[in-house]
Amino acid sequence: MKKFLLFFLIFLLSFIYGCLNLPDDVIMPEWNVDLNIPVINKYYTLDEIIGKQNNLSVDPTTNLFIVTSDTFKQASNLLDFIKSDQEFTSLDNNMSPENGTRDAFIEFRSDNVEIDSAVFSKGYIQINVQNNSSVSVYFKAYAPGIVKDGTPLILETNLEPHKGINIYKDLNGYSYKIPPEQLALPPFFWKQFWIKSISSSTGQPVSGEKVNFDVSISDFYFSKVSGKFSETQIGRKRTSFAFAKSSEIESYKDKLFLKEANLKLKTIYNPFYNNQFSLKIDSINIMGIKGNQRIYLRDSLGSQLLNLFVQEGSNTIDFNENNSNIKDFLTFLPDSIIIDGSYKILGQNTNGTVTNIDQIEFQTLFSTKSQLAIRKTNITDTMNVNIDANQRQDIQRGKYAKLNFEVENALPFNVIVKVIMLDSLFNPLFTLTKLNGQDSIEFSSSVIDQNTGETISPSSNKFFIYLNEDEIKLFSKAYYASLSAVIETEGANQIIPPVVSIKASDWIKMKAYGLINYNVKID
Amino acid sequence: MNKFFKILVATIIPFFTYAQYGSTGLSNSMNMGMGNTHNAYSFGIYSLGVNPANTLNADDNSFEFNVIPLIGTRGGTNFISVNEFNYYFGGVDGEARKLTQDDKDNLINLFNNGGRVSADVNVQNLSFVYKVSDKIGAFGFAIDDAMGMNLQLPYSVPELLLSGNILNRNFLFNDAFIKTWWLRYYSLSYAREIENIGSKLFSKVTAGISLKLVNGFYYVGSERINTYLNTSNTEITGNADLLIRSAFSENIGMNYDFDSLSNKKSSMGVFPSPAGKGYGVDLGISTFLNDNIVFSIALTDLGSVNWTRNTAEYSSQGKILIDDITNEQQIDTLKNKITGEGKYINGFSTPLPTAFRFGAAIKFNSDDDFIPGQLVAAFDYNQGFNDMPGNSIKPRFSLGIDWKPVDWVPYIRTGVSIGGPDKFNWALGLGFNMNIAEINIATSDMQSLASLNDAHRVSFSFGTKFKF
Repeated sequence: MKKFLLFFLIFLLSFIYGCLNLPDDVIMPEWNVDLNIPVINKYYTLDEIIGKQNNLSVDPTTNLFIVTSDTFKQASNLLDFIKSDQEFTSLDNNMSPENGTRDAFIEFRSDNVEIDSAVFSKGYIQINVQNNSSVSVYFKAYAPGIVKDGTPLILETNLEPHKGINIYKDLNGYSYKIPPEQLALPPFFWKQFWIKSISSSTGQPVSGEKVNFDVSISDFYFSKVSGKFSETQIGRKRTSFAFAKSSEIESYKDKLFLKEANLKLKTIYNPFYNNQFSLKIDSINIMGIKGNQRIYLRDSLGSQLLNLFVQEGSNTIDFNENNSNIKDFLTFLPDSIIIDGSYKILGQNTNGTVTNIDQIEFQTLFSTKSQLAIRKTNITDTMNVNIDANQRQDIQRGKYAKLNFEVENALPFNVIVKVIMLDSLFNPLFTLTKLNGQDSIEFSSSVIDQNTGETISPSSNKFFIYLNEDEIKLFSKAYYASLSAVIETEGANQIIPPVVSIKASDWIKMKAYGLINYNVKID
Repeated sequence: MNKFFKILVATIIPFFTYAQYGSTGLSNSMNMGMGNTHNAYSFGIYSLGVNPANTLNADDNSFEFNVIPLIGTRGGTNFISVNEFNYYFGGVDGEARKLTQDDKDNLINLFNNGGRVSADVNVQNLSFVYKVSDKIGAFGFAIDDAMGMNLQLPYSVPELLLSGNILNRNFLFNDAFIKTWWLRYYSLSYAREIENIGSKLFSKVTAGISLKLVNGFYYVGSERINTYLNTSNTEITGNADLLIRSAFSENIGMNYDFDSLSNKKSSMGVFPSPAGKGYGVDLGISTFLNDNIVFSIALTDLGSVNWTRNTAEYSSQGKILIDDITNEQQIDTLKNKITGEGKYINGFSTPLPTAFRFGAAIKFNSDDDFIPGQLVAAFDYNQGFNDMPGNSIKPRFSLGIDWKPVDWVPYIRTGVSIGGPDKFNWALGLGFNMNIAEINIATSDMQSLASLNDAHRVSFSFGTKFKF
């Protein structure tokens, strides 16, 4: 019975298993399926599209963009003018070798300033002493007005009979102040360095024998000067700056019409000591250069030479389209800007103190608002198509795709876009933006208020892109997309084109959705 | 892959063998042949888990047990036959079948009545019943392992996969559910005759109780899935409402995807550490109108399991909106909404597959001139109180007979079962009684055996028990 049961059981299981016609290999079927996909639904304000840019800000009141240049600076040190690499001398001074004394005065000429006191940052005094006697002589010279740490400048030496020597001293760190006893002398002596010298001998010189010496001062610079200042030409400076040189701006040259523009000329003068004299930047030239073309900033009278009076502190002068040609200047979009100016101290024997840290700085800042017209301007760019290898394989399974686009454009310019997909070697694969026999897609401008140039309402643009199986396969091989866009504001071809207001809050809304027929195959 | 898949299909799709718990779980190899009619007509160890009062249905001072673990598997679907499976997944000349529109429609239509997949493994590791006498009673003990899975694939899944996201169509996932677990019952049973109760009406009343210590080794169950999706021209919208809980024994080595630091390893043994513990009770009463007519009622698996180890939940709630597939945040949110975000939780409890059972049986002898030999006809009504694996809140009725025409012919059994998730089963079985050993074979899906390749379900059970 047990054997029967066992046989029966095995038979039954074999029967069941044998009757089951299970597949040798499980092979998943494949099929095509329609996928309705909301591809994209984006809303961008222009502010978001442009993103943060160094020279771009938004006027919080008007929402207009403000485009500013870099701040171009030119600075000049005031002490540059009170200096000398000349040599001033007092020659043929002599005195008796025995207990001789001699006062020498070295003329210090300055057409611009009568120095009351000063601190040397550099300078040399040199005395050439000649002992023309038959005895040994001790020679000492000192300048009562030139002091360091309370001690007057002293130069001294011992001289053998009939010998001479050069004594040399660096004036760095010494200060000068006219000694009170010098003020007792006639004013002629006030502009001269006073050198007192004495001598003594170890023996009795022959009568008539002398000690002769020459004194010279040269190459002196000051870190601080106080005195009375007359009108002084500090110097002329010329500085060149790169302006609208980048490739992005290049496309807009000769195609941009600005409604308004602004140049701020700013002077900064913060002297260490308060002075009674004023400064002037004279004959300022601001010139824009683009290739062989030049444009000068001119005032309302047409003068290209501008003058600025500089008061202590910071002062700004605005040039705008009403008082200058700044609008034309910026519309010109020069490659570079040259600023040229002459600096002056305006004094009339005016008391003042100037230090080596005192400087006058001159700044220019160009700006304009995003109220403009643009004639047809081509913009091109190549973008990466970031699709990984697995995604490329998946895309290849697409059979066809019909993507509908709905674009609401609240940007005040027309855009024509053409996108060509490129392979890894930048060879064109196919044009993505083909529609009704055209190879590009146009988005019309928003509806503009003719008076203000502002967007009243968005334009509505609807279109679709159909990709067949071949194009989808080509798309899977795309590594780059070449984007060409032509932008233009409405009526930009007119001689005086209407200006539109491009606001940071202007927006574009893009919605894309569609049907993708996809082959599903699960390995 | 091929062999594995064949075994899987042979196991999961057509076979039901043994799952003696819950209202819809299959019965032992004897009662399966009667259409799983077992409440009033079961004996000894076959009564365990069904009606403990019936453990008393044995000779005085008798002892019966199983020495070989009774291992049964159950699995199946209610939507695809072997032939259909072969058509769609067998390929054509070794290549993938390219589905036509008709193919896709037919495949989708297979899920019209729900894509239910179930699988159960039941191992009766050890069981015995010793009956002293009706007065003193019968004592039983059993260790049973029950692994079960009920999975419902929502209709929307094949529709989405095959037809795509059709515009303006609501894709509902609220018919989806999953419940799967592995429980081990240690049950101690006692039954005896109850005297002086109903003695005027019944010749004998017996009552039984089984106390169960339950260890759970894993559980994954959906508490709710009410997610739906809708595609319009320009967007996919919907709502996510999902809660799935799980717990795993340390020995399984489950590493949850939300815990990147988890590095557990599997180390399964005969006695894995439980992830949950609980207690259960089976109560049963059988009343004998006379020697030939019996009525039984039972409440089985009263109790619950508290899951405390490696407990986690995946949940999501809220609106779904996809209007831009390039928006990574939207895509990530969709993924999270569909699959839920996982996190550890303190613990949770699940009920046992509690069921109410009523049965009646009548015995005819050759003396009745009704039929040669002896015939027992039985009727069952099983009502589950939850949808845990092996159980169903859909009532199940069954009618079965056990006929011994003459001594040299084995017991012939047949029956039908109506209701529950399977809706209809026709059962057939044979029984061989060799005094100390009893061998039973049965199927509860005879209609499937007639044409195996068209069958959605095929069941078979084989069991032995020894009795002294």
